[in-house]
Amino acid sequence: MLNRLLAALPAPALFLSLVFFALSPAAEASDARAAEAFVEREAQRVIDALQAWREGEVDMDTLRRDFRDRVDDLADVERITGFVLGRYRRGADPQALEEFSEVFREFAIQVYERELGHYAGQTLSVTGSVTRNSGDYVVRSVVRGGNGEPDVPVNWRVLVRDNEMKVVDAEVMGVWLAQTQREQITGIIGNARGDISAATRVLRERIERNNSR
Amino acid sequence: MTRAACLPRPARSTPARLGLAGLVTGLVLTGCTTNPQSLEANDPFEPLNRATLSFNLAADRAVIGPAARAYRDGVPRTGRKGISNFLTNLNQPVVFANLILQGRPGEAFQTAGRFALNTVVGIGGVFDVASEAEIPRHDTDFGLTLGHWGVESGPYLVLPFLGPSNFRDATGRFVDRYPHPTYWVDDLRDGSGIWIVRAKTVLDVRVELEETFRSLDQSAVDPYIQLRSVYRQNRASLLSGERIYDDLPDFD
Repeated sequence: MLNRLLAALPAPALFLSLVFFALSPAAEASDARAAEAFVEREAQRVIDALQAWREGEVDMDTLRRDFRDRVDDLADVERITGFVLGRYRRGADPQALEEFSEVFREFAIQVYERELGHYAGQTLSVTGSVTRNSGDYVVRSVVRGGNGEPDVPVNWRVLVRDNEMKVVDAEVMGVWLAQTQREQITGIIGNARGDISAATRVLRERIERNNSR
Repeated sequence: MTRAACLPRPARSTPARLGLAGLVTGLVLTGCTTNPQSLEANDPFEPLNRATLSFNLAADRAVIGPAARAYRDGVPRTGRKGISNFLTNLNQPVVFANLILQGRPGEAFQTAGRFALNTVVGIGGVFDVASEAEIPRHDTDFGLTLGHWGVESGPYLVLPFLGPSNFRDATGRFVDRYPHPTYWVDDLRDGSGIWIVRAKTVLDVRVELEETFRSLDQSAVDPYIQLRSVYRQNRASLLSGERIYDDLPDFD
């Protein structure tokens, strides 16, 4: 079972969740069905963008640039960054916080830019949703890769803020990606006696290492 | 958990055993930690676990990874699929036994049906005829059986070659060898056949994980913590059954 999980990570859902951040425009909040429609609509946009690349209508640089440009406008970076910092967000130095936010976003963009081409041809079907609270939904879906690959259930945490709907986390086979990031980031900061810049340094090193490959 | 909780039981009083006990004690003490972060994460053996993970990754780079790639490149996909089906079918008695222990007779019956159909019609399980017949496939183990009956997972462990685990699941691994068919065939259990089965299983799993190893290397901020988090969340979700998501954290 863990083998199936590990084989499914980080894709397709890991990749698709971050691309959703990047390519999904703000949507008006209403209810769970709106959240399902939001995920379904944005999934189709992702699939269409990847298909256009696959068919040669756009090149990889254009696809990546489009992805990168939209992340800053459309991702709820402040909320996700606050989440992955956990308890260390409270009382954090504003400058250290801003620096971490920029580097964390760059790291995430870089990771998923590299994965873009691997997931062309995937399809996503929304299968239902769970309403946790008003403005807090978990949308269920299945990602299909075709070619005899098993279907992968993926669930999307959709939150509403200021009447805008955005995906903040994704679950693949029981593993929530932002929660996994939080454990890593808070582990580094905790070992550095609460110094956020330790996590910023590690992320920078990872970015440089990935760029050198 | 305190450092005292990491101490092994005293050894018997022969020189060789005393020496071995001393070695094991030294290793375990070295591998324990009082780091609050680690203890909070129920990972008191984090130094030892990290060292074991490093060893596993080094072994993968040096031997297992190259062997798996040679296997992938040398054996056609259909052949690898047949081997994978055979190994999966061989594990069905383990799944059956654990489904019974978990009080899931309907799924146990389906598992028995799959095993019988694939063994007879599927030529020893090489062909997954049961999936063609749309008989659902289930997967569980004794670690989940223990969890089903309320046994806590215990501290996180990284096992040599086998990877992430915990006290409960490691115990489960040991127990699951008994209902496995390889244990009941004397020639297979006592000869080299069992190692051939194990080696094939390792290669089969490793081929499946090729992309994952590459992606983990690129996407993880701390690969050790990422693997620990992934393992724990996955195992917890397998125990929880139908999810209603009432335990998710706040994002504000």
